[in-house]
Amino acid sequence: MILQNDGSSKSKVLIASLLFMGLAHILFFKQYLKGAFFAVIQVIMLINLPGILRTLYGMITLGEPNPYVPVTQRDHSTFMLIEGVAMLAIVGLILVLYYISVKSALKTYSDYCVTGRLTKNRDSIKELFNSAFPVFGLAPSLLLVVFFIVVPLVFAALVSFTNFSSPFNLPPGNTVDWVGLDNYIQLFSGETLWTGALVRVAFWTLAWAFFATITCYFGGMFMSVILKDFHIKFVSFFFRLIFILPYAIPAIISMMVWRNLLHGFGPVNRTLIHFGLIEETLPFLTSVTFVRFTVILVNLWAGFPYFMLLTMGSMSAINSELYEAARIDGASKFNLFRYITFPLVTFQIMPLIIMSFTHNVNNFGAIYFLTGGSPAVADTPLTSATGVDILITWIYRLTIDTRQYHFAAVLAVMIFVILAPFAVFQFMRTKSFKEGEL
Amino acid sequence: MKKLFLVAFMLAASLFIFGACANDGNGNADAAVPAPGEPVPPLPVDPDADPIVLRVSESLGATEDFIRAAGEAFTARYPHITIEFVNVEIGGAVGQIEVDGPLGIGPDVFVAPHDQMGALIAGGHILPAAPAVADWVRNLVFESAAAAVTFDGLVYGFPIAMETYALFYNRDLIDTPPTTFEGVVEFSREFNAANPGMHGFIMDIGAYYSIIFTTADGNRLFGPYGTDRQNSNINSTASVRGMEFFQSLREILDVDAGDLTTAFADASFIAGQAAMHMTGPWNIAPFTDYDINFGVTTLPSLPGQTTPPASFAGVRTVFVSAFTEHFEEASAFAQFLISPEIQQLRYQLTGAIPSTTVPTDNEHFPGFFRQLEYAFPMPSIPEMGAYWAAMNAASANIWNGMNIQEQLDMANSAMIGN
Repeated sequence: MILQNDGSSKSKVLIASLLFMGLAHILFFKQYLKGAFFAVIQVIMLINLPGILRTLYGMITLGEPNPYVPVTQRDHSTFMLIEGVAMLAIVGLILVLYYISVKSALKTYSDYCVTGRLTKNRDSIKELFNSAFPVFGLAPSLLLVVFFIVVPLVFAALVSFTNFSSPFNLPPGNTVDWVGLDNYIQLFSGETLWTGALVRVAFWTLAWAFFATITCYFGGMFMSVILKDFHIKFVSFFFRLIFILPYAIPAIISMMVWRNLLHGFGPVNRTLIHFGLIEETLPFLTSVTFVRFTVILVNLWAGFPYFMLLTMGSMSAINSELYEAARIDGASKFNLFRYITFPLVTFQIMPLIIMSFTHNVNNFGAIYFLTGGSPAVADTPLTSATGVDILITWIYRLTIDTRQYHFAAVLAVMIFVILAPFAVFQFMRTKSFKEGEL
Repeated sequence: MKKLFLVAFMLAASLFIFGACANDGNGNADAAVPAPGEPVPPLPVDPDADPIVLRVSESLGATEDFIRAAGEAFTARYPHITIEFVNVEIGGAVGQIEVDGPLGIGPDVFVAPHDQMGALIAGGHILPAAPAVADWVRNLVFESAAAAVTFDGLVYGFPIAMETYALFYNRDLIDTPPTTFEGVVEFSREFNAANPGMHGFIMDIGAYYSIIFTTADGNRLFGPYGTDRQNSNINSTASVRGMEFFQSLREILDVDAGDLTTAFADASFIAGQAAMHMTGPWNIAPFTDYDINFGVTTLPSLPGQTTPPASFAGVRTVFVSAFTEHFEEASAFAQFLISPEIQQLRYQLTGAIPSTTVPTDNEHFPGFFRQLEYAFPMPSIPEMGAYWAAMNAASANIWNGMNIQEQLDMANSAMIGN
């Protein structure tokens, strides 16, 4: 095939490359290896086309209920859904390859128009290693990201548009159906008990994350200021060692110990009664309002060492001349803290405070292991959300205890919507992003 | 002590009458059905028969020893049949048969909890026993065990061990436990007043235990057979009335629902702070280790009832795989496993409560045997999935004084959807 080198054969090249992957490379450019590579991919895809279409169709129907055959032979809706999502990812990757093949054909042609000769196979391979090397280098991690992060995430998000739940829609016995926005409507419409639970849990999640972060930050800072004031080195070292201990114990263990300590008839209540400080036992873990304070306080116990270490680090970076100058001007200790230590440390640690906030939104252990299933509130039998559940622990109950996967998926999407801005904000603050290296 | 004897005698007598009635109800045990005591099954003993290997799956530990011992006894009777033990833990048996069964590599006989029977039947993994065998099973085991393996009038499995809870009482604190809940309340009032900080009666108020208060007048979760998918009966009039009584118990056990956990109830009983405690056979060993002088008897009856309330029962069940090539022999072995003689062997090896009364030297088992006469098997329909979370919360809320009808309605809709 002869090509004009004045650019007039562009449409010919375009049509050939669109017709079949790699066709233009073989027909016009004698790049047999590259062309064959593309062609093989298209052939494999065409051979598997019925399977691909069946999988994609299965994702649309999610299977037909068929109660008269053994369970193993029935349509398994969730498998069909996740296979469909994976297949979409594969088709997407093939389409990207298709796009690359067309683009590379057009580029080869435009090079031909300029130089008047075809790129040889050898040259194109050499070019591959030069310009396309990053692409090949990144390809494995891209595949990993697609199949191990994107596909499961998309699957989880799609579940929120189905009725995947006990008792009528649990595979393999029964099938799952698409229900559109029904779950969102049921959760957000305000007509059901679910809305009340959702509002309670969502607001408490934010309040919890805010107070858990703030208390730990100020608690940690307070301790580090005090430790810094100890001028005897050994004392400071010794207490630092002790204060770090809560951070070093796995949360699941310390939370369960606290749970026993704070039980209605536990050691804390008994001790308080023994010394006549209280008359009745305090409902540390049974009254909703009380438990909310309890979880924040226990979390302070477990979380302040982290911030103590951080603030100690950044405090030692503050120039001591600042303090000296202030002292000469007659500043009190409080003023030194108020006008020098606090602003400088907070400015430095702000990104970590924000990270800690997002961590606390998903702080499963602090809530779940401390409170277990109590305290129940009026709507708990239906919604299984307790008075101190945050979104993530509620998701756990909905999936593990009651198998209401559809509502759990809606909540997961909500968490994503809440946290994604923080992640983006955090990322945009990073140095490498600001300096344009990405 | 005399009183105790009298009560025991009366209970035994009523048991006898009750048992006799049950047998009459089943009616004409025809001649082909061997007597319950007789270790069926009259398989032809043919020394020239081709050797057969039956693969039997069970959990490891004492249950493995039991299968091996029973296998040897079976081979002694039928020399051409060998029993091979394969390990599948009881929790995974159903998942395994679903996959391996159709491929022909699954065990011939497997052991699974009774509440997974629904899934096994729906999947076509087990077949109903022959009518004569079914009658034999019904005559042999506790009524609740027979109910657990019956579906649509057909018997699908062979109950081999059971579990339920009963009333534990501390003999140092109470001589004769009351047989009615009114008696429990009365005793506790006096006891609590006389012993500040102690409780006459204590229980974990979780869904596993609180169900007994809904069982007056034959009201049962998901109907008499636990298979009614339309009506959970958890919010029926009888249930509400029962839970009203449950709520009123707060008077004698004034502890917040959140604090009334299994651990707390057990610890109170161990510390001698509680005279009566509702719990199961797993606590016999720990309580004995703590040198508690305790006895076990049936649960006290609910107001207006004459028999103990129906506690939840779990039944360990032997199933014959529908995929086995030796159905008759496998079935015979399953029957052999639950025959009284072999159940006695199992009791000696594992110490678990059998599915029928066996002679026992454990002083606490007769209490469980009597309670098992009234227990009813945990329903196994899919709707049960939401029961635990929903009813745990509803029980806690009711205990803390919330509206009973509202809470039970919510538990109902959490289970059957709507």
